[in-house]
Amino acid sequence: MLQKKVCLLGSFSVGKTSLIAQFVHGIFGEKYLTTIGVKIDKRRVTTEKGETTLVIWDLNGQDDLQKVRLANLRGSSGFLFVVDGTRPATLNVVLELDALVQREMGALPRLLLLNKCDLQDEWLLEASRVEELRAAGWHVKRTSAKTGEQVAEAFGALAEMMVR
Amino acid sequence: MRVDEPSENQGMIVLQQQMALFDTWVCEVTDQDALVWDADVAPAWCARHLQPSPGTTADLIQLLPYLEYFLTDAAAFWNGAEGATCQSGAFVATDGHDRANEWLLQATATRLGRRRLLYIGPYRAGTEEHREVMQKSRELMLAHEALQQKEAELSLSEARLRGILKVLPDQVFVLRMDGEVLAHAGGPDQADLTGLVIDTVVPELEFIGDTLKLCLAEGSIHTLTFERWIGSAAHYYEARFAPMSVDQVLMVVRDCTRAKTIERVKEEFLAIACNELRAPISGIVGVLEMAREEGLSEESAHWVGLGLESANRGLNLIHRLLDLKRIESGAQKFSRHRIAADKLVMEGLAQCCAVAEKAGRVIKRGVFESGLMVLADPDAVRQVLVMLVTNALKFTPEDEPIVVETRRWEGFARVSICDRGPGVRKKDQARLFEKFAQLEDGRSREEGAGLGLSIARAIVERHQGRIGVEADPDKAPGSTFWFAFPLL
Repeated sequence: MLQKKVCLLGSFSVGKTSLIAQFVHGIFGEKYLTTIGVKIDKRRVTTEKGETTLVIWDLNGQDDLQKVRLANLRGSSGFLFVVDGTRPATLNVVLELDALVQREMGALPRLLLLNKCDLQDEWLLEASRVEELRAAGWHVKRTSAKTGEQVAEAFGALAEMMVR
Repeated sequence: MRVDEPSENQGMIVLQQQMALFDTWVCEVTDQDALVWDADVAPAWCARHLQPSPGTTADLIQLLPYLEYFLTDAAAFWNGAEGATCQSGAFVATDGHDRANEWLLQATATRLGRRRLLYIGPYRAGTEEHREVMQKSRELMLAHEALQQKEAELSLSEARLRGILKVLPDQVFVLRMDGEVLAHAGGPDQADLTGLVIDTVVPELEFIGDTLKLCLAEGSIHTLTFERWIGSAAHYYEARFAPMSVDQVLMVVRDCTRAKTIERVKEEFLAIACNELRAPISGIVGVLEMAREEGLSEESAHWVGLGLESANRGLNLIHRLLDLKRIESGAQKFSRHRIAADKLVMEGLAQCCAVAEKAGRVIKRGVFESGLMVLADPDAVRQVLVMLVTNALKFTPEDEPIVVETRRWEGFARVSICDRGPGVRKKDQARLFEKFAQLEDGRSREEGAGLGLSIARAIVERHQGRIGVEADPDKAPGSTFWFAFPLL
């Protein structure tokens, strides 16, 4: 069976760990099970090419450009870049991280998750900005790690992109 | 009164199933005076006559009044010797409505281990069939209990192992030859990684596939090290691989960060100490040299000479330590020249021969294969050669030659220096290249600071080469020190 390593990247407190917990364990919250110091989870998904196991790395503590260690990204087949829709500044971090990853690892499948979409009242990321990102080639999904909205779909979409 | 659930007692169920084949019903009389039977395995007569559900002794007696007397007799057997049986006479069971529904039955009480069993079946007193039934039930129950004991032992052993793994700081993986994780444990909490390919868990281990193959092929333990960034700090790990079966390898991953940090602090302290000591000792050497030139009396000159010798030894040690530190840290830059190994060694030997001649020793040339091209810093290679030859000179008896040769060896150009000294014991050979290695026979400290071989190793490793010693003093005198650089 195919196995694909996926890394979640984004600023602190955007909900990376919660997205993984929601996708893998169906719960909202932080689940800290580590393997050799890193949080690694797995989940099997079905793609048009058959069954694929996603091996998901949560690079906790490597929240910005200075802290991301490229060695930890080695072997990745795709990335989920996570933005907190209530903190537009987290988008800038993601764009910098994306540039770094593209420079060091080339163009790999990637998806942009606008997380915390359950917090509609606090949502500050402008729709026009999102459209600009789409126009620039980003695949964008609005997700909520809390309610589970679009979480499985986001991982599934990345899986499809990776097996193509 | 408690009635045990039949499902809790698999042994009894198996026995009941088997006995049902003989049209015999069996139940256990427990300390609580309870009876156990399984509705699904009751013989035909029993299913119709006794309501096939768990009940008590009293329930049974109500259905089969004859048993009241029999159970009183049976109590003595149940408390008596293992395997003894008590057999009732024939008695009739009926449902009280239709004489067609009457059965001629017989009860047998026996004890198997702690179990008090009651069999009720068709009347077969004294027949071969009856003995067979009893023997069969006895064998079945004993086999089942032995199996249960084994299972309990295995379960305890597994629990112990899991407990040990849980408190160990190491993480343990069982890997198949293709790298799939078959099982893993260790540490307080771990995600379930079974089924994953180890490359996706530890992508830092680039040569893991080769290591697994080598480990299984050679049946030996291999070690790889890697660095992983956790948060904003680097952690250092050591992965040890040991073969488990024909296609499975045990991988134990240990966090060596603390040891590495201590080592680094120690190295930094040593470097600082050396730098701080170098200036005052250089001063002492300078002053003593000046004093020696001042026309001292013979006695004073003697003492100044001793002082100067000691100070120079100290200064030499400091320089060597600093050299080693520079090489190990990568601060020492080596040039890279494409050069023939035999030519390089010949040049180095010219330097060594002068030293040997002065000591009254002979250096002989062995095989010198030509055309072995390596990429190396010529000065560094000569330094390694001189160190090893000087070392050999120290230990070789005066009338014995030292033989130097250069050969092709598994993709390397290997230079060997064979001496006829006392040799190095097998157990000391690995430690010989460590800093200040103190061997039992005092070999390394006879002269010098014990750093020459460490420096040689550091230089060779910086060239991606190998270094070692071959000796077996119990079989033959002498040692062969060797170093090898990759061939181009």
